[in-house]
Amino acid sequence: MLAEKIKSKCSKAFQNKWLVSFIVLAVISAVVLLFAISNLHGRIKTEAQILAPKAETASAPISSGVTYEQSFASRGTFNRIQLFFAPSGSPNTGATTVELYTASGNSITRWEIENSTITEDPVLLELDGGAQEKGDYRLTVSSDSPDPGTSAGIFLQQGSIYEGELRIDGEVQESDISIGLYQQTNLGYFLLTGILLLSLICLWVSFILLFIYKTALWKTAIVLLMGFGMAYLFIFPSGTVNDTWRHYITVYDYSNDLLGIPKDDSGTVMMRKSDLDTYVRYRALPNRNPCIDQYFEEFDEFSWQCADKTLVASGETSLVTRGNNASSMVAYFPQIVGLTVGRLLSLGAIPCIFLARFIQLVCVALMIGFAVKLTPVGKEVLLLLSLTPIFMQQITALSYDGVAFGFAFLLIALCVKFRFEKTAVSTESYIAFLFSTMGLAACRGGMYIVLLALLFIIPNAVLSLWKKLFAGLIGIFTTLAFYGNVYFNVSSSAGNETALNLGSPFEHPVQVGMAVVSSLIENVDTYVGGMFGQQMGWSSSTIPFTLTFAFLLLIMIVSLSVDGTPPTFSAKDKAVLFLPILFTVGICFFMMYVGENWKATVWNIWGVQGRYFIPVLPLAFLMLRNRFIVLKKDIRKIVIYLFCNLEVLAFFSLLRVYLIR
Amino acid sequence: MIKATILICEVLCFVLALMIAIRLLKPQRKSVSCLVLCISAFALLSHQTMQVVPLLHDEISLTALDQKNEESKGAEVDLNHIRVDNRLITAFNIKEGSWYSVSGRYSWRPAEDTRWDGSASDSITLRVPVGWERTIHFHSNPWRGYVQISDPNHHKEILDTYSEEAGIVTYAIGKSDQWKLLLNGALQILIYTLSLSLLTFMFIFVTHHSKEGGE
Repeated sequence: MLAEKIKSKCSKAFQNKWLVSFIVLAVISAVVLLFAISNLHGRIKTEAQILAPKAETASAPISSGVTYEQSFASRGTFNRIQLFFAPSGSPNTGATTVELYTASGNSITRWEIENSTITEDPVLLELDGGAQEKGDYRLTVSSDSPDPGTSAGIFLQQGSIYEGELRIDGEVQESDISIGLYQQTNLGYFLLTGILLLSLICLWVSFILLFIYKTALWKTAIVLLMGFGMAYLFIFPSGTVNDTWRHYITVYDYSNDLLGIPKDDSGTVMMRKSDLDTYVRYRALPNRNPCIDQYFEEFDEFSWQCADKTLVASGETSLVTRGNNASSMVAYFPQIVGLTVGRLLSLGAIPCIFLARFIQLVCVALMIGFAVKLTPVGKEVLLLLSLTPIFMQQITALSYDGVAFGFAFLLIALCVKFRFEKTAVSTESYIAFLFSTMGLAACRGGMYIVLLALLFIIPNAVLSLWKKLFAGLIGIFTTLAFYGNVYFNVSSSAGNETALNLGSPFEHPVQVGMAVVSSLIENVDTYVGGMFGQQMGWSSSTIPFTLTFAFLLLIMIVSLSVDGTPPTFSAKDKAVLFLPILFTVGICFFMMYVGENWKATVWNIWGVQGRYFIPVLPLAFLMLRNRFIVLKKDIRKIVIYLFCNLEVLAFFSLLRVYLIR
Repeated sequence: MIKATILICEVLCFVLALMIAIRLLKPQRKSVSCLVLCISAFALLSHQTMQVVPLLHDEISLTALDQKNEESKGAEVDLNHIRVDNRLITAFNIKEGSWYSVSGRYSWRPAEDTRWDGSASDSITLRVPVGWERTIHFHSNPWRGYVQISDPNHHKEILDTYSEEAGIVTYAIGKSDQWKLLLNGALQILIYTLSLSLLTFMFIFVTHHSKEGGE
């Protein structure tokens, strides 16, 4: 009976070609994943360098009666010590003893190394009893060989980078023993496997939603953004980007405001002691790119509960205090909520940061979902643009860009919706429009308020002139309310600015305009790469240009209409769609010309990045929609699925760089 | 008391604006929450405006005396920030005179210091917003010297901004005159009310106008 039931269900299921395709695909991708992981197993980075050795000069041979004693501080947990021994010319005899002690003098591990086995290759010594915590330690090196001629020496390096000193028979030396500290675990392997598995699950889910359940695109958008976003939360450690920590301090500052904690006397942000420790140590990492060391740092620093909640002055000022920035509370709102909730729950620093990033991801995913739902044209464009690696990186990082992207997409969707409405918009829709306008105007110095030029494509019969005027006024009012003091303040530094390279843009518009044009020509590849994720913002993580190009191509395909079906934009509409793009380019270059003038040359205005144009990017693709070049068949879902596949390839590409030797 | 009054007035204005909007627009039950959200956003925006619009202020003069104590290696003066009722001010409103912007601080350097163009005046007059707890914070280190502060009551005091290690030297300006505080509070309420009324009535107007068939 049961067997018959299963048989009938299976036969029904197999009549569905999409389901069969899914099963085949799932099996193939699972096999590929297993194959990839089993092949990569030996090549995945398994160690993080806690202290870098720099072997410079060999010491005198260490014979019996001489003891080298090196104190040092580890800035992370470690379970391996690397030393460089120096064999003498004649055959080595006897043994060299290395012993590691805690600062209080308890022996941790003792190693005996036969001198005859010593070569110039580094020696990696494994600690007994697992990893040791960060802290102060002492290492002694001695020998039982009485003859210096047959004893081995050890390599030294200049300068006490270990916050310790070397003593030979009690006498302080100028050099230190060259010590490398390592943490060796399977973290890299677990990260790679976990992220790739998650990405494959996202891929399978996308297939199920698009082809089997045929879920509404806006719901699919939320699921995909959340799924891939979760992967990006782990692909990029919290402190990846250069200015992440400035944003962290700023979010912390706003969170303090909510909790009623004032700044200290010198205007710096008060922080919990444990959070400050994490901040200081994490920020001191020399490498700002995602790498196994950063993952280890995060892993090392991770604790569910905050160990020390005492408030201390951080010595850091936030962007709010600096007063010349584009960082309002609105732009950081999801992150402020996350961090504050985390602090109220007494979570540790890393869980708090993760919570802040996660809540931002949820908020932006919902905003994009609604944007996809609202727009009658270009739903797939909005979805695919929000799935590009740079967009995902920005909405999962500590940054003020994510919320601005969300509001911009929402505003564009509403304007396009109103453009093709036949009747007057409802009060609810208008209020939603006002909210998007206010939100966008409150982010990034209000620079994306130029999107309000889209009001011109909306017929007056749908949105009255008064309503348009009021929306415009609200946008300007919000920008001034949040940034008026920045734009109009009587600045104390006004008289001391360095002269601009080409003079004031108002006095020399042609020269400055030419510099803008030459910058565009010179950096077009950088801008395109930055817009679609080849270059991940400030971090120097990159994905291959072929992938970026494929993303661009796929978004272009979905921006076309299917067999010329309406609605399409008129020529006048397209001219209006182009205006915000033009304004945004102008504003970006103007701001960078004035703000980063010291780095600009006559031919190149420095500092403009491709991601600045993301909020107006949907408009460029909407302009592509025409009646002449059209899709003969509706292949947009297949294109979305293909895009998700490329996204997984981008994961492979990123993780290959970060985790594989 | 003044702060509490401002807060109560803000809440009252918000409730009044909401009642007027509901009365004039007569929204359906499902739209009421949208309207409440909208007026709340206007109220927050008006509150934000109240923070940004410059109101009454007192004037304070700072004079770099080009003098130092025996241990100091220089006579420099660096203004770090001003704090008014826990609000930090780093972009200073200068009425007269000018110093240099150095590492985010506003600094005076002696005319003979060749690293600078010698254009800094000895005295500057700052406009400081009125408030209850107001302090002026100078950066201190081994190169700092004396500065004379003339507060709004024309009381003059000389402050040594030298310290062995980098830090902050704080000078309390004190509370503004009561009448100024009262007037400032009244102005704040006025700005909030004007802003909220403007936004609310314009919203009512455009919505109502559309309903009447203005399209």
